[in-house]
Parts: sequence; structure tokens; C-alpha cells
Amino acid sequence: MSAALLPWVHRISMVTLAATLLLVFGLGGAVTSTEVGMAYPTWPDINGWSLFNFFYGKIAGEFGVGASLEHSHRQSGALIGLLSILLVALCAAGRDIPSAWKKLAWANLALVVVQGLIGAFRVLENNDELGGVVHAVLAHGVVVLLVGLAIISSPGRREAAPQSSDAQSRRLVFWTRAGMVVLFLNLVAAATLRHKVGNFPAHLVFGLAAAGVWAGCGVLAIGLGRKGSRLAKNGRRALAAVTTQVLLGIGVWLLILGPGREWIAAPEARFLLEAILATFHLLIGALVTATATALAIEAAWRFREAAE
Amino acid sequence: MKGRDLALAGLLGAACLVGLFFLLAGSGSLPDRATGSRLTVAALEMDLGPEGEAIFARAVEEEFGTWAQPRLPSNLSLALGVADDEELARGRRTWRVKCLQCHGPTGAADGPTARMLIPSPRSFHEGVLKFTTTRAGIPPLREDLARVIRQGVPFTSMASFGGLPDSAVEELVSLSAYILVRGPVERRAAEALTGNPFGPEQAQGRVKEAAAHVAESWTQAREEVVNPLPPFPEKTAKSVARGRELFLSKRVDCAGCHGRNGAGNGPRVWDPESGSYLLRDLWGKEVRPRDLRAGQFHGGGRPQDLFRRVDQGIKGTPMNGFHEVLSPEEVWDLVHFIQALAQP
Repeated sequence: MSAALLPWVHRISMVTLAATLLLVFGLGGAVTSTEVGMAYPTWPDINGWSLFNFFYGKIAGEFGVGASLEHSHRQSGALIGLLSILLVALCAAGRDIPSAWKKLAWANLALVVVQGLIGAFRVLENNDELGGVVHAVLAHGVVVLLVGLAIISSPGRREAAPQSSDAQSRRLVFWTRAGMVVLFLNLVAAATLRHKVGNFPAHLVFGLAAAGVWAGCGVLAIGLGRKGSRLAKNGRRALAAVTTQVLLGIGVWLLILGPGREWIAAPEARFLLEAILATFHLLIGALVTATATALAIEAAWRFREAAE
Repeated sequence: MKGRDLALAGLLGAACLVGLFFLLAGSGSLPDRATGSRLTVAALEMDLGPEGEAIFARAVEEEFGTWAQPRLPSNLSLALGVADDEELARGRRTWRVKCLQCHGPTGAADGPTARMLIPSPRSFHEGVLKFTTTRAGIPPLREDLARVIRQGVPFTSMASFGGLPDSAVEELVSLSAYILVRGPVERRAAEALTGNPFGPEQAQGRVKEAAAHVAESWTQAREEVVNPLPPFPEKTAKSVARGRELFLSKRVDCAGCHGRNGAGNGPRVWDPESGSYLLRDLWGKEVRPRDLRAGQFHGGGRPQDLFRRVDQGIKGTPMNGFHEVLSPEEVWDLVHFIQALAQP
């Protein structure tokens, strides 16, 4: 029974991670981009309607499209909560499941619950500054924990052997750790900007620093890993995510803060384009967190001696 | 670590210090998504012509400043209870963070979120606030604005901003009052100027006259409060029955809009042929009469709130008041019936 559960922990953590990225970040990003977080200021119901109401058209007709969008974001959060409970249950059910898996599953569930409560605080107290910023940054914490659980529970990971460290591998371990710190500083800067209590220069400085560090880590990992190895793959993924994110960031800056503000006269079209770009910027940002975490864990695992 | 890594780490540390400096410096680059017109919608509806509009806009700015740097003539400051122009500037800063996304940069309800909400956010340019304690046609009190800001409008997207410090609420009240008076002042002055050529002096004179008129109406508003004082009459089976009779009667005809069972589906509401709502408010938005059975009242569900809605109506909407038609006792009967509908 216990051995049969091992692959399911990996599978469910991957499903939870995918749902978190696509649904929670996609819809949550759209909610913030269109500024409809307060489309209905009640929680967990919508002015008396249940959270588990799936008549999106009816909600949109009654309270507007914004309410429908916010409602679907809350539902996706509830889905992640249910999947996180399932992960904990799976880990608890297996005697041979490593304690590190259990710890990660419990930490993830705790963080998801905290996220739900912060979301409620943000709505009920109408606190977009502290509530919105903490909610946004901690969402990346969920991504980090889920990536961690997915990696350490993967079949390849269980069989992988540590490798001897050298100067280059020690560099990679150091810079991935530094990169995680800068990444989260940048997330704070980005969230404060999105929630109107920050400023663009802070996000610019931290964003460029994080992009530089992770691009460097990606190149270093590609160079260190054998062709087709997990290290090289993670390096390529991190590099691709960072490059896409920088390009999107330039696009968002051009349209919202830069000279592109004058390019599209029709306010409806501009609003839509801004919202789409900003949402994708947030979504790819979550992907950067995921790929960066994967690379950091991979590097730390491969070169354990270097890390010690 | 080699020298190159140490140098890079030093560079990263320096970048982080710079980033932290900016982060701690706080908000400084909020974009105004739309600059909006120099005038309110109320004035733009008048046909002043391009040249007249420019002269008029300058005259208005002489008295009221710009949207970014608002100011008030002294008589209006006094009538609105605005301490000084600095209070308006602080209110403007809070407005940009808390209100702009729905109500727009100038209060014209053209913020980016407005199109995604039902009911639509209020435009202040007509000078009308829907839920007030004052009689129909009378401006609101500062307390009315503060109540809406603190408590929100129940069952709509207008959330409570009760978490703001009292000083910030008062500053927002002042800025909201500023926007609320600009529309009526501009409309009155523009109406007086329409049809004849005019120069800067005439324009400024008319704006001053209109400002004095509006200041007078705000000053007198306190005398026009509808204040049903407790103890309220007791709700009895008889008073509910009398209220039901009134509800269905031709004299009041609540059922025409709210439907015979209070579901908000009366014959005057919906056009089955076009498949659309027939009623519109002052802002041209479709109006859906309340489903009274749900007990969800935008203007508040306390007895005195319902009394005011029945007695004075909801400003800017087809919901008329029945002050001239019903005695206070009859209004209370209707209130009891509405309460009974919501609590079967």
C-alpha cells in the first residue's frame, strides 16, 4: 500500500502545481489586472450566493463580469485547498513516505489555508495594500513548496546519486541561493507596485538583478550538466522563463508606464491589452519562481558536498 | 569564491540596497490611467462651442483649480465644511489609490473597473448621491458621504472603507463634495451662458453666481433632513396588511415595478419584445427594481433607511418618493410590509 502511494504523491503535487499556476495565478492575475478584487465585498459567499455556485453567466448578469472573475479565482483557491488536503492525506497514509515529503505537504497545506485567510482579510477589511501584497508574495511560497514536493517525490530524484563538487558547481549553488533571495525581494517590489503602494524603480532594480542572476544560473547549469541531464534541462527552462518574463516586462512598461500609453486611443482596447499583458507578466513570473526553485533544488541536490 | 564572484556578489548587494531604498520610499509612480476632461460631464453636455468651452474651462479653473490640484471658492468651502485646499489635495491622493479604479480620475465613473461591475459605480458629475438623509432634490450632508465611505453600499461592489483613519475619510468626503458641487455649478453657469457670445469676465461672473447658488443649497441641506425618530411604530399583522394593500394599490403602485410578490418583476420593468429592462436612471444605466424578498437593500435595511426610501425615493432613479401621497403612518405600514416580505 505504502509503495503504491509513492508515485501518487508526485502526480498529485504536479497536478496541484499546474492548477496553482494556471488557475490561481492566471485568474488571480486577471483579477488584479482588471482591479475587480472588490467586485463583491463579501466572503466566502457572493452577497448570499454559495462559493460552490458554478453559474458564472448568472453571476456576471447579476453583479457584473468582475464578480464572475473574482468568484472563479476564489473557487480555484478552494480547489488548491482540496488538492493540498489530498496531498497531506496521501503522505500520512504511507508508512514509508519520507518525513521530508510529509513536512512539505503539511507546510503547503498550512500556507494555502493562510492564503485563504489573507484573501478573506483583504476582502472583508478592504485592505488592498498589506492584504494584497502579502497575498501575492505568499502565493509564490506555495509554488516553491509544491515544486519542492514534486521534485523530491519524482521517480528520477529517488534514483539520482549526488555528484562530486567542483568550483563551478559551488558557484551554481551559491548563485541559486542568492537568486532566490533576490527573486523574493523582486516579488515584494512587484506586488507593492501592482497594489499601488510601491514604485517602478524598486521593481526595475530588483527585476533586473533577479533576471541577471537567474539567466547566469541557467547558463551555468547548461554548461555543467550533461546533454539531456536534469540540471541542463532545468537551466534551459529557467533561462527561457526569465527571457520571456523580461520581454513581457518591457511590454508592460511600454504600455502602462512608458510612451506606449499614447499608442492606443480606444480606452476599451487599451484596458484589455494592458490587462492581458499584465496578467501574462504575473503568470510567467510564477513560472520563473517554479523553474528557479527547480534549478536551485537540483543544484543543491546534485552537489550536496558543495552545499555543506 | 573567486574574485569575479565576489565582485558580482558585491554588485548584487549594491543593487539590492538601491532596490530597498526605492521600495521603502513607497508610492511614487502611480499612473493616472485617464486624464479626463477639464470640465464635468454636466458642462460638456451644454453647447458652448469649442472657443466658448475653452473660455469657460479657464473660468472654472480660476475658481475650482484642476482635477489634479483642486481648490474651492471660500463660500463653497464653508458650505461644504472643507477645511482648506490642502485637505482636498490629501483627499485626492487617497482617491487615486482607493476610488479611481471604479469612479475614475475625475469622478465620472469611467475607471477601468467600472465596465465590469453591476450596478455601475456612481458618477458624481451630476451632483447627485443616491442614498441620503435629505429630501428629494436636496444635496447630501457630509455625514451621508462619510456613511457611504465607511459602510459601503450593501450588496454592491462599493465596499466599506471603514478601515481608513477618520482623517482620511474626512478628506475623501471633502474631495467627493468638491466633485459633487462642480457638476451643478458648471451646468448652471453654462446654461446661463449658452446662446450668447461671452468673454472671460462674463464666464467667471456666471461661475461665481452658480457657486454661490450651490453653496446656498448645501448650507440649507441640514434643514431638509428626513429624520424619522424612534420609537418607531410597532410592526403588527394589521400594519403589514395595510402595507400590502398600499403596495398593490393604484395610488402608490409599488407592484408596477416591484411586482405583486415583490420580486422586482413588475410590468413596467421588462419589455419582453426587446428583451431589455425599460427603466433608466439619471446616468442612463438600466435600473432593476429590488427583489424585496431577498432583503438586500442598497440604501441600508434599518427601519429609518426604508422609511426614507419610501418617503423620499432614491435620488437619480425612477424610484420616486411618496411623501406627497402617503402619511407618515402609511409609509410605516409600507415599511412593515417590505420587512415582512424579506422575512417571511
